[in-house]
Amino acid sequence: MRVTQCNEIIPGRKIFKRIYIAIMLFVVGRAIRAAAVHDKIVKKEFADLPDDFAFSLGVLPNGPHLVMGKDKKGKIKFLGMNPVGKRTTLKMAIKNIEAAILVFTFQESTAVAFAHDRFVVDGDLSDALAVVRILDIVEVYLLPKFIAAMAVKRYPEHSEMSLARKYIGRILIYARVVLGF
Amino acid sequence: MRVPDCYEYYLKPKVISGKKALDHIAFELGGMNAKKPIIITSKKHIRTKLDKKIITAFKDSGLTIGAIYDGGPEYLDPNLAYRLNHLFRWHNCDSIIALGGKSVTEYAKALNIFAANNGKIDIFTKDTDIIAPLYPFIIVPTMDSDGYESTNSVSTGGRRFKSESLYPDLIVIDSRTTSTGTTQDAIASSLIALAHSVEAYISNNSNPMMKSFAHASIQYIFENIVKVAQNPRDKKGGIALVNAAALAGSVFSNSSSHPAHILGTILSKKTGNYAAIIMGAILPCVMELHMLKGEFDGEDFLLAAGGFDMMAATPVESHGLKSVEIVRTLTEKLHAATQNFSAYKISEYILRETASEAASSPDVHFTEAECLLVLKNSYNGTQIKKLPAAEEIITREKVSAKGGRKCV
Amino acid sequence: MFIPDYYEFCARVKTVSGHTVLEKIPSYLEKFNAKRPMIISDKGVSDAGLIKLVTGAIEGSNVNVQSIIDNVPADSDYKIVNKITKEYRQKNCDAIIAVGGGSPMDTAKGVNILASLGGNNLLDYKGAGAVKKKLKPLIAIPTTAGTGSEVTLVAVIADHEKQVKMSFTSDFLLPDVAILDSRMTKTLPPFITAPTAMDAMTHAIEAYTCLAKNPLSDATALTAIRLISENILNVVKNPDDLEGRLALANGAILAGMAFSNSMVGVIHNLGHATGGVCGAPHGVCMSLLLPYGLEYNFHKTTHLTAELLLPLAGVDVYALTKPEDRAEKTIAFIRKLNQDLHTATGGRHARFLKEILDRDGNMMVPREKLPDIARTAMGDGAKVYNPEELDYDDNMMVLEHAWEGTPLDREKVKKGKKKYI
Repeated sequence: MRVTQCNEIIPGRKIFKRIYIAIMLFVVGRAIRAAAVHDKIVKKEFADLPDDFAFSLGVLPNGPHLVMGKDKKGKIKFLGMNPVGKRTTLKMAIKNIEAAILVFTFQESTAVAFAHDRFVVDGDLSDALAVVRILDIVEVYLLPKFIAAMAVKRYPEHSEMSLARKYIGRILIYARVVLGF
Repeated sequence: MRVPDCYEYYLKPKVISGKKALDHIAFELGGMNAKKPIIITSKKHIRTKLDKKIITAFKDSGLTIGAIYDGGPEYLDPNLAYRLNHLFRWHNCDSIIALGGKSVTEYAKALNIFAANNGKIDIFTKDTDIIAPLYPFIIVPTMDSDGYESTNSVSTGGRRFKSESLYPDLIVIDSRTTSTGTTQDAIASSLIALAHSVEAYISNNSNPMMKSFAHASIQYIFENIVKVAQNPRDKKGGIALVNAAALAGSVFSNSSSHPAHILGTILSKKTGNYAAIIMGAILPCVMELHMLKGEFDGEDFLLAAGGFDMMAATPVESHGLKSVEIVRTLTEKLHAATQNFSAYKISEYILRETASEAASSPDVHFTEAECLLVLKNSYNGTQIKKLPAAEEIITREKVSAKGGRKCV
Repeated sequence: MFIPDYYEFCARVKTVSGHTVLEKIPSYLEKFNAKRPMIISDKGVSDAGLIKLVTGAIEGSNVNVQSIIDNVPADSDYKIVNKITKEYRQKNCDAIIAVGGGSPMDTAKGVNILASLGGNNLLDYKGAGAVKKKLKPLIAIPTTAGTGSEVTLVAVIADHEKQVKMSFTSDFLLPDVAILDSRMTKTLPPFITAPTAMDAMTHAIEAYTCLAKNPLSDATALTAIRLISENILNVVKNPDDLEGRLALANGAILAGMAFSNSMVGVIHNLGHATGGVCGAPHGVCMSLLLPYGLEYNFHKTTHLTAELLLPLAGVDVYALTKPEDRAEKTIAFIRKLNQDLHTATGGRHARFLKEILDRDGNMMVPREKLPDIARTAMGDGAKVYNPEELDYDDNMMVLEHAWEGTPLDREKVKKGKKKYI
């Protein structure tokens, strides 16, 4: 190859993977909002966070995001998929789309993804840990045990989350995710 | 564990290794304020579609690839490096990625020097210092990488330049690029890496930091080389060996004494034979010589190379011998390598010339007689049983007195 | 050898170790074209005469120290960083020499950010990715063995107004050179040598057993454990042993490299919280929590805990211990080491939380504070990297046993099934 024949290459996009991540984030966002209503632990986690708390979770450099935050009454709102122009006190991002796929196909749990430096956290780390705990609980609601057990460090025992709580919560959360209320 | 009275150690490159490591390059370049790399590689890697793998890894990353160049010959051609600089500037590149082994990385390093100095420094004809700062420089080693890529030096037209600026900023090890090699690649690169690591382990300025990384390199090689030689597609084994090579490069850059490397390289240049095979045969003799001089007892080496059970089962006074034995056994297991290189039919005067040239190198703390002893025994595949005459031996104290054991 | 699916490792700090290496500082500064350094340190270091050692070593060279800041508090604040940076600019400095432990090091890193990238307020550089350029030269000289801050890429600086601690993280925060000179730790009294060395030991052990472990951090951690184990008791009993001091310093820097790249877990999680709530010294908390951390994670890290016996206790003990007993033996060894240090320091090295006393002999960690500590620990980043989950009840269980000094009942630990390592 002659030197003068080397042209610029603009690598394309991973459309299907972006779509998949966007769908997963959308579902997770609605599920977090639903869990904040129905699950007492998630409720408490959010209550312990500052009044102006708002976070974004997404994929770098300009991949899909979700934005959530507290309104003036302390209610948890799903603020959409675009962080641009929205004030957030915590930004959590996965470094690239392939790492995000590993997380959202549960090949790597959130804890392992952190251990593998897949995440970048911009803001208070203790707030970020609260979000990780909330994500863990939401994953237990959304996913069957054999998948959720891959995503979380320790699947809750019956004494920590009764079957009734889990299944009723699951129905209510799925209903809110699908119907959007 | 002994801590020397003084030492210096520098591991400059960041290492990222494993699943989807290539996809992290964009983030790392962003951290260095770069987003348009030029990729230097070789036709061999284009044939195995490594360029396509990198392009796929860069999708959705925000990066633009300035150019991918694959046309370099085996040894660095000064004119080409100069022209690559024009390519770099033409496309407004701001970083360099070397995808491949030693020759590819040599080009990339030479390009970096030219580009960072806008072609003003004529590194091939003048004695000059490398002036930093160079552009962000990433290496993506493949199975034929022997660790030299991650060192602080570059050889151009028979001259070698050494500068901390030449260390890569980042080493990216991904199974997509480490599992496309051949058995010969795996054996050759691992033998060279092993020689570098072992020499660092027993060098005059060995220290706890160097030993940590050399230990890891030696352990990786012994645990993985045979299975990767049998199956070069072994992903985990491939990653382990390339990690070992990268570590070997680091300890090589920091250690002060490389007799097997120097002897092997000189002899390889004189005869045109594979340096890896020659180094693989020289290494046990170098170990034996150090052992006979009381400079190598093998305990920690045996732990790295053979594991705890082998170390515990070997009497303490035999650790050195056992260490040499397992290195010889390893070369036996690697079918493409041999325990000696008498098949190359090298004349005695070439061996003498090599010994003389090596002994004058500041990186070889052996006398000419010792170098010749090593060469002759490794050529014939025999053990060194006796040291040369006392006046023809150099001890560590003499090396220090000569200023060869530098602290800082 | 363990190969994780993915890892990152960065230890881009030149290490210089020896008995008289302070004298090399001018030559290193010259390589960076720097001649007008600022020294950043604290009162304790200054009172021990260590800054004089540094300035004495530089005297007569082309380097002229422009400013000495020796009043950095134990818990540095961003306003202090802003103030020191002003002085840095006024005196036209071109490099920083940080002398001391964690706080002077972190402060120096903060000053370096502001001095190199411009502006007047460190808060402007809060956030990931804010520091992405090479900073001005920074030489780190630790005076304990140690925190490992000389090789970490984090600076923790407080905002006392908002009562938060901010972490600035970037590869560019790593010092350019770390100087380990045995003279710098020679005057450290035994009751401080012991916990600081055990802090380093904990760094190495947690790096070896937590989720982000990788081959390079494993290699440095094992060497660190060996160096510390071989030398800690001897140096506590013979403080003038410079070879031992240098070995501990080497152990600390290797441990620093290890944990900087593979993080820490339950021990630091609970230790940070204990320090934050009760003001208990960091190293003391780490050393007594160390066996408890290993017990808590035992079901997930049995094989790793067993492997630690070799660098800790040596070849003979390892060989004589049955493989199935090695993990328990490791924990017993550490408990014995704490006991031996307790004896060697005349009782000043605490073995359990209730033994931690302040200068006036008062208990620093009363039992009533344990719930606060357990709650505070929930917000500490270290728990993410621990192999087993940690909730409030788990924290309380460990703290209660660590308070009493009784071994953890491993049957009572809630065990997640997922094995990562």
